[in-house]
Amino acid sequence: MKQLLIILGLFSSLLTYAQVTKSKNASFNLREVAMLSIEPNNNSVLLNLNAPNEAGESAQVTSNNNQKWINFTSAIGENASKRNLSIRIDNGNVPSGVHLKVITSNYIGSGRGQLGSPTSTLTLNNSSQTLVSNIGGAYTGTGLNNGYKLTYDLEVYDYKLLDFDNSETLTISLTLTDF
Amino acid sequence: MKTILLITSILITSVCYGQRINIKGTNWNKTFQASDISNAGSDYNAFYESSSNQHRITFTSKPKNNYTNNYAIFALSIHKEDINWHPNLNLEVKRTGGSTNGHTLYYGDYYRTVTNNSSLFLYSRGNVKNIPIQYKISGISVLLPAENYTTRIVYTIMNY
Repeated sequence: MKQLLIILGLFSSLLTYAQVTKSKNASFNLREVAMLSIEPNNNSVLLNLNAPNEAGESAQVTSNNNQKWINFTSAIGENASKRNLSIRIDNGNVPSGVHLKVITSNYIGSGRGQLGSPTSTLTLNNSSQTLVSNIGGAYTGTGLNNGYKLTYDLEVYDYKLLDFDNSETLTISLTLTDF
Repeated sequence: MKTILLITSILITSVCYGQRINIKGTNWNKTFQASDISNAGSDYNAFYESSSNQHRITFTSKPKNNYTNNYAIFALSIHKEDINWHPNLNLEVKRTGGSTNGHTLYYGDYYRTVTNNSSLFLYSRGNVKNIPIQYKISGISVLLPAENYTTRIVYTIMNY
C-alpha cells in the first residue's frame, strides 16, 4: 500500500508543470501641452467708425473680419494649477474717444475636458486681462465653430475726443498661461 | 521497493522539465508632447504602435531535450502589473511573425488587450526563436494628467 501511495504521489507530481516568467516595461510620458491658434486665420480685424448719415445719429461702426475663433489644446499635471487665456494690446494705442471691446462667446464645439469659463466682455488695454479662466486638460476641436468666438467692436465713449482722420494699427496678443 | 523508486525516479527525470524564456529588445518608452498633436484644438491620435519587432521572444526547454524542443506544447501567457497606470489606457499586443526555427505557432497574430489577469497569448508545438512582438497603446489624451504611466508586461511560459 505504501509503495502504491508513493507511486501515485510521484505521478501526480508529473501532472504539475513548471513555469518561467520574464518581463519588460511599457512607459508613456505625457508632457504638459499648451497650444493655441486663431481661426480661420490671423488676418487683421478692420474696424471703421463712420460719420452718421444724419445729424443727431450716432457714429456707425462697420467691420471686416471682426470675428475670430480661438482653438486650444491644454494638458497639465495632476496637481498643476489651471490655465488662463489672456488678452492684451501689445503694440499701438486705441484712438481717443473710443474703447476697443472684445466679446467672448460661451464654448461651442466638439472638444472635451476642462474648457474653462469665459469673461463675456472686456475693454482692451495694455494690461493682460483674462479672457477664459480655469482651463485644465482639454481640447476645443479645430477650425470655425470650435472653441470660443471672439467679436471685436468699437464703442464711442466721448465724441468730443474723436478724430475722424485718425487711424491706428494695434497688435493684440492672446496667451495661454499657467496661474 | 528500491526498484520501484528507481523506476519512478527515471520517469521523473525523463518527463519533468523546465523552460527558459528570453525577451530581446528594450522597454517600450514613448514621450507624448505638443509635437505629437496635429493642430491646436486637437487631441493625440487614437492609438500609437511600437515597432513591429519591439520585442523578440525565444523559449526552449531546459535542460535541452530533443523531444520537448520539437514536440512538446509550449503555452505563452501574458499579463501586466501596473506601476503607475490610468484606467483609460489600453495596451494591446500581437505577434507580427513566426518563429525563425519554423516551428508552428498558434494564436497571437491579432491585437488583444493585455489585462492584469494572466491569459493565453499564443502556443506552439516545440520551442520557438525570435517571435517578433508589437504593442499598441490607445487612450492617450490631453485629458489625462500629464505624468509618466508605466506598466510591467509579464510573459509566462509553460509546457506540457
